[in-house]
Amino acid sequence: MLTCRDLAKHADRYLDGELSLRERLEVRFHMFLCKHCSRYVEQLRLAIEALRRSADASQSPEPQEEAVGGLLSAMRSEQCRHSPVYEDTVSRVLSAVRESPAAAGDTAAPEVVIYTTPWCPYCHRAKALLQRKNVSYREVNVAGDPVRRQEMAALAAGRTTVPQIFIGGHGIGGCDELHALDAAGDLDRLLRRA
Amino acid sequence: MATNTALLSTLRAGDESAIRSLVATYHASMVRFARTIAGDAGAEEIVQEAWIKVIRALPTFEGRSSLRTWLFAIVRNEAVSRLRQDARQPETESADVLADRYGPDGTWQTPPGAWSLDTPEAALASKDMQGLIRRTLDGMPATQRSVLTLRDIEGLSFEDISNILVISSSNARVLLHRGRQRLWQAIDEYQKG
Repeated sequence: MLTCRDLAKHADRYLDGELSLRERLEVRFHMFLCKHCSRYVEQLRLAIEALRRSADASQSPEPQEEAVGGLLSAMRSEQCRHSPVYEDTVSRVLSAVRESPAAAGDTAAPEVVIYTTPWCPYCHRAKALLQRKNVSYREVNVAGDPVRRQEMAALAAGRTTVPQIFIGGHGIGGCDELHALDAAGDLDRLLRRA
Repeated sequence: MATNTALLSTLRAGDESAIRSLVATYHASMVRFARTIAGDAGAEEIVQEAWIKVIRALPTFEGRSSLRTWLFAIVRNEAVSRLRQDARQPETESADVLADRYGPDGTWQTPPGAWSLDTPEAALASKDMQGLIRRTLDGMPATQRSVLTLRDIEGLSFEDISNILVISSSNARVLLHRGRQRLWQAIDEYQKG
């Protein structure tokens, strides 16, 4: 025969439907005879129900669009990292940079513009690199702003992923390309700091 | 699960609608779970990082656990490593709250009183009750909060829960048992007060 103390120990598995038939009958029999335990099990059920309700109620509006956008851009960036096209892109950017007439006589630092969304980790990484290097930049948030996004795509030869980074009006690509330029020592040159 | 396999191959192909449906299905649950470990402030950020890890790891995901269990495990790892960086340690053991309500013979010495929830369904959804539940959860150790959330809100099995949280299944059961009792006790005291 179960004691009331035993019953409380079984209550979780009883409510979750995990007891064997025999155990379940023992619990039911005890509850039939003991109004305290019967009340306790019902109250425990209500407590669990209250917990479930609290989850529904606290559902904050999730930034799902942002999440999807960031994820897609991460995924493309991830795929691009594994593809031969990526190396190709980086080397094209590098050679374009090397050939660019790094304006003799023009000593003003070129403007750096970065198109971002607040969510995208690659945007954060790109900005972090610029900040580390004490490069001032203008940030354009394209989240929920189709006009700005289109403007970005137009400047970036149709690319719609963020970030897109422009130095002195030249699109250099995204976060990976920025890091590649920096690693090759070409970012400084492009920023006319060499 | 067969659906998982189909979903996985479309995800790996970088299919936009597959990613949309993945995020729509799991994002809110993942944020809720991240909150149990890291609190409100860092949860969104943790899940964002977790999604990136998910994308990276997709090609090597073997499908030995369900997709959901795998996602939650990644969130947990991300949250725990974030906590180590922050060096937070708010763990307090949760005792058996009913222990001293029984007599030596194991029968009730202080039996539970009646709750005046005339319409329980409405009362459970009230703002007061939601706040009470929230405060009670906040007062629990993170692992206990996680177990309650994964079991009673997400409906996961103990096997999945123990894999995600890296605790034994019996430990998960004890944490659930005591955690539910604490919720019951909190409502009980609220009813008396």
